[in-house]
Amino acid sequence: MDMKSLLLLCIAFFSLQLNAQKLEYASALIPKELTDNANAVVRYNEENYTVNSQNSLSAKVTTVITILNEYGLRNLNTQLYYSPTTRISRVEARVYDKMGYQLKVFKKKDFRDVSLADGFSVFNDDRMLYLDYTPIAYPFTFVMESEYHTSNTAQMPRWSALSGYFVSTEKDVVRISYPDGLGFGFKEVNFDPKFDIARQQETGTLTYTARNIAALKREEGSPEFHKMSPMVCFRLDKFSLEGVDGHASDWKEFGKWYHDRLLSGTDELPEETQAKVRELIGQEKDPIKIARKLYQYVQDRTRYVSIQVGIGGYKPMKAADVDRLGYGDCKALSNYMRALLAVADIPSYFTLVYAGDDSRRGLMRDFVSPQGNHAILAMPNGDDYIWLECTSQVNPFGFQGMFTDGREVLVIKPEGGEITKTRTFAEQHNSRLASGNFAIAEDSGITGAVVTRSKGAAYDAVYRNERLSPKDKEKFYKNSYANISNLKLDKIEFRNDREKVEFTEAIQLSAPAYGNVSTGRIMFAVNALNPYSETPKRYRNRQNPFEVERGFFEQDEIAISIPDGFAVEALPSDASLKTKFGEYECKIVKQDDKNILYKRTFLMKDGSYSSAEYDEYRQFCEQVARFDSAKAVIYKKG
Amino acid sequence: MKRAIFIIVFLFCGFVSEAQKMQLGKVTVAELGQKTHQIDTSAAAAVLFSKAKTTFKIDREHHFKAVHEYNVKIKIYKKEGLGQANQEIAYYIGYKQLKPEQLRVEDAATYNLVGGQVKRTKVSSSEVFKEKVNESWKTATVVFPDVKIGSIIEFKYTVTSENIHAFPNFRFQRSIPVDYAEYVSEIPVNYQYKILTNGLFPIQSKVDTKSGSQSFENKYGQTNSLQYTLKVVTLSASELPALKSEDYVDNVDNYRASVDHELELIQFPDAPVRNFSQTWESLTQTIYKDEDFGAQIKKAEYFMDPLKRALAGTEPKAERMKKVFSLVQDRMSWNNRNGFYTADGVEKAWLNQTGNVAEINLMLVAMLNMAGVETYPVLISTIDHGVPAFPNQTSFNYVVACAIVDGRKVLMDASNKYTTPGIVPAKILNWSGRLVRQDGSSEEMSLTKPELSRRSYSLMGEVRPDGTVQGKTRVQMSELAGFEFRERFSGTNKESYAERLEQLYDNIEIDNYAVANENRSTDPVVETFDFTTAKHSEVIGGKLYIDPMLFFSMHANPFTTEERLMPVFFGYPRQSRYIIILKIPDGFAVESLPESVNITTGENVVSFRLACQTAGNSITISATYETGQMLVGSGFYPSIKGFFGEMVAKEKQKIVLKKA
Repeated sequence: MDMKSLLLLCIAFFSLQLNAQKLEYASALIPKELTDNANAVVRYNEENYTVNSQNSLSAKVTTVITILNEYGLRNLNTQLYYSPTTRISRVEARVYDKMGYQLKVFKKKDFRDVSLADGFSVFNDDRMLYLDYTPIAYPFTFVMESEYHTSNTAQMPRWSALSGYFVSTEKDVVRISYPDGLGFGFKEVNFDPKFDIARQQETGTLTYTARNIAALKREEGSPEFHKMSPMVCFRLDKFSLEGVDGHASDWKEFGKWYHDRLLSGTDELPEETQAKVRELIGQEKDPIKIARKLYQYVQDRTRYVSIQVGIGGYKPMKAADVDRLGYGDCKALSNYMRALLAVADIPSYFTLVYAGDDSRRGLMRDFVSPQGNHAILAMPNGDDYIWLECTSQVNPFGFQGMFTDGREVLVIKPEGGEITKTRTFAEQHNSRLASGNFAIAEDSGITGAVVTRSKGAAYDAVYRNERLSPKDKEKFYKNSYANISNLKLDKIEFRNDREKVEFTEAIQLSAPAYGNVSTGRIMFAVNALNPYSETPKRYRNRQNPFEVERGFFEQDEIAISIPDGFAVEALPSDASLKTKFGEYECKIVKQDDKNILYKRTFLMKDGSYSSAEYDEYRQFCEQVARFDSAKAVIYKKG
Repeated sequence: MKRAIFIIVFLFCGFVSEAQKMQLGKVTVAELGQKTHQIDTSAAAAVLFSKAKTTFKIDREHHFKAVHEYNVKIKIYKKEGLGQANQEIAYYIGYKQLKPEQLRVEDAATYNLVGGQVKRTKVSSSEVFKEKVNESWKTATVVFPDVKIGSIIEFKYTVTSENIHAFPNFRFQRSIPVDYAEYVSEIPVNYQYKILTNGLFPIQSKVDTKSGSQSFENKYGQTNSLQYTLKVVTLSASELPALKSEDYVDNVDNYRASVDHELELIQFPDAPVRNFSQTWESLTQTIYKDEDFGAQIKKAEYFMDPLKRALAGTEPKAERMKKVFSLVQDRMSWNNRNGFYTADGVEKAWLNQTGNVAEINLMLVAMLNMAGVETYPVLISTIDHGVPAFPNQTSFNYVVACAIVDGRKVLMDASNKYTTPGIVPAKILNWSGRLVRQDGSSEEMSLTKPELSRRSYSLMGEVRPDGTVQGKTRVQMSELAGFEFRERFSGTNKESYAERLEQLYDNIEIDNYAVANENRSTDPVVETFDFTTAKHSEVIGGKLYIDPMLFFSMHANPFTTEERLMPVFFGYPRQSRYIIILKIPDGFAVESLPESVNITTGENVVSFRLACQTAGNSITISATYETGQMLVGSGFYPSIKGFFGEMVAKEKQKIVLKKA
């Protein structure tokens, strides 16, 4: 290049630079109600989707976001996912300073290309482009434009008017156009009237426009974000999933398609294995007892390994392969169990579910599409089902724990699909029943023994303890008795009744100086072995509703003895609370000069409540914690 | 603590003859029948042996390649050990000059006991999943079939690499017990390596020589052959316990038995010795010669104008230092990348206003020197990166600036928005740094004695007859304590912060929360707030029992385990002082006060003092807690655990008020 053309290029470049101010991106223009509680503001988001055919969808997305401070940086989404069925054709990003002057332009080559290692799959073929951008000052505005094409139309994009906690939206538009005859459908979720969202529907096109949606705060006990944030889901009756075409207008049809196209033919087992199954069953006729044996067989022979490739993300690996290899993912293992049961002529059904301990999420009953992130097996039992979690080597038969309990799932039968709800443990069944004793010594030391039986969700929380290393076991129990410092665990014993799904912990413990001694008196908390201390956080302005997803029930009966030569000076008074959140009662009975009996019951109910009820709930918890820390005073006689 | 524990004594002793037996494919019925690990019965799985061998292979271009061969045999004892049946191997493909490393997996199989017989199930190539993680790394995951409790898995893999400067780190110790591990290197004597062993577990070593020869095809297709002498070094260790982290540990890898190899020199007859940094001096020279280090400190043109503007009229050196520091800190944003070499160079970084640690701090070194403030780079290994025990490049991953002003050394890190001259982030306070000069000289700079960070708490409160305590609190945080507060909370919503503080302080109620100096400042951060608490007193039998430390009490001993293997890491030295003045309610009188306490572990590891006294109708509680050392040996553990137990007990003593 000669000097002259270089110069021309420079001029062109500089004039481009000068023109690159976008006044509308200036951060001072953001309405104040959108910056309260916000670390970032989506200034403008536009998503254009075109369904070209049953197996072709193109997308064009432009996002303009202003990041207000460094906490907002986590909301800067510079990632684009792709896979063998999703191709990114264009991506460009631009950065503007707070006045709207352009700072930088990034092209596709500036993006890094990485494998989307999800941390548990040994292999998956999803990949990601992302931009590693370091901001030089806040606030700044980031514009990202992308276009992609996918042949997957079974899982259509979802549009969310809010992109996360502490992020507001100034304007957000989604437009989807679709041809006739594919059976386009949509569903609005969490469309609270407080959100300004307009729908515009014309032939072959649907548009939503959201304006000035203020940020949601993250608060303790809130429902999950996806249960509060406004969203629209799209679907087609005629769809394509990783190259497999499908047609379904209701769950029945969807289930039938899933069964015929993805499940059938995957459940054959080698003759050798079938023989082994028959040998295992022997003369047993009771289907539940047979299923128990086969479940144990699967637990002993397999392990969970996740491999997600193409349709393999939906279609289980063949049962014969699982049989040979001894591993598989949730689909493969559930399907393997199904195949084994089939040898015994016991029907069972592959089931799709959203799994997760933290929050129950159900499939949307009225929205037919591939949903869920996990598979389990449903075995009919009268009018009900026994649910089998096939990825765990230690779960008791038919026990779902908190992973898949109480939520809508899709049961896939040869004749079609059926939405049903898995078993919910009522609060009374998530129980911990403790009985024991402790003695206070003259120097205020404590020695005690307690036996606790846990069921339901409480079982789920402790039954893996029997598999902890001695050191981790010690740590766990020192942590659970953190109210007793310098604790020594003299004995820890477990009994895991997998049949009754009941876990028993027998603990013997001791510690010096449990109480405090002053002037011949010892003061100690009466509830030494199970004090409740989880007081919820206080909010000056609680915004979100809250929920207690899994209530529980506790019962304690503890015999307390005081040292010889001591007498009781004061005992805490009995207490009783009855609220809509739960019930609490404790009784402290002096039985004779040396012995006190402490009885306590505490029921925390399941429930969903409004933000206005939060303070009352907090007070209930605080009162329980206060009653649980009430002290007795004993003194040395004579 | 003595560094000696990290430098493993090389013992020339009799060698384990069992090494013969340790070959793949020799699984016995007895091994498969074993139910638990003989030493650690709680082990979920164990490595029966893990053997690595590095040899050289010559290629057509007469270059040596390193061939690292690994043979591993693992036994599964419990369900928790099934995770071992997926083995991930990572190898490097991101070289700029060299070809990507190559991996080959062979002889992978699962062994089970079936009807009293050993059954072998081969891993087929479709069960080895290769994946490109990013531009630098690839992984292969071997997924073993038919694995259950009692199974043994075996595999061999070979990594071929053109990188002969450093060999992959070899871990003798793992998260499961290792019965036997060895690393053999058979290298032509002309190539000399530094062998860097690490960990708390002894590694034995044996050195031998043998002759070797290799035939290879040259570029004209002719067969050549080369004769040479090989140095054979065998490092081995037996019965290594599982490595498990403990609470209060700086970096668990510091205590793992492992080895690194670094090329020290190449010496061929009739050719000059090629040296690859083995002393501090040669390391310093090598680094300074590097385009991405020495040359970067010399560049000055890009900052001359802004520097002049910033310094206009400023004479005293200390002032000039502060101005230059602010100039760099304000302009530059750190891109979250460490390193002591620049990536894009200082000029480009300056233009883009972002850079890695080297770009930002080498720029600072250059500018300070230009401003007449004598300044040197200091190489550092962050806590995450491990102990910088030897003079070699991989020992370090960070660089800061050290200015010498009025005979005092001032450390500076401009890659963080909240540091000030003299205050560097705690993550880099790790053993010692190395101050390096252009002429090749260098000196060690201890990083374990930063100035004591102080928190001072003062509280004025009034006790009500119902036991509620209400009052005002003022908390002052200086040095690193102040820095950490700013780094975490500067600019956060104060309402949310107060809500968080309430939770930290046993759910008291806080009002009128305010904070001063929360942005970058050399003055302490000062928090003030009003509080109300009903949780730090009891009314029993007409008497009031009050916790003397109120919501500043430590409720539980942070050290719970009986046993301790690793040194205890406390972080930077800190002191907390408390002055609490409580007015007692009318109609009440003091019945008893907690006794005064003065406890310490000795050697100034931790100490605690508490004293209460009455004056008129108020009680004054004063307390001081101090940790003086960052890292102390595990021998101190019993006394540290005892100390905190006693401190928790003493803080529980009550102030007892009775009706007057």
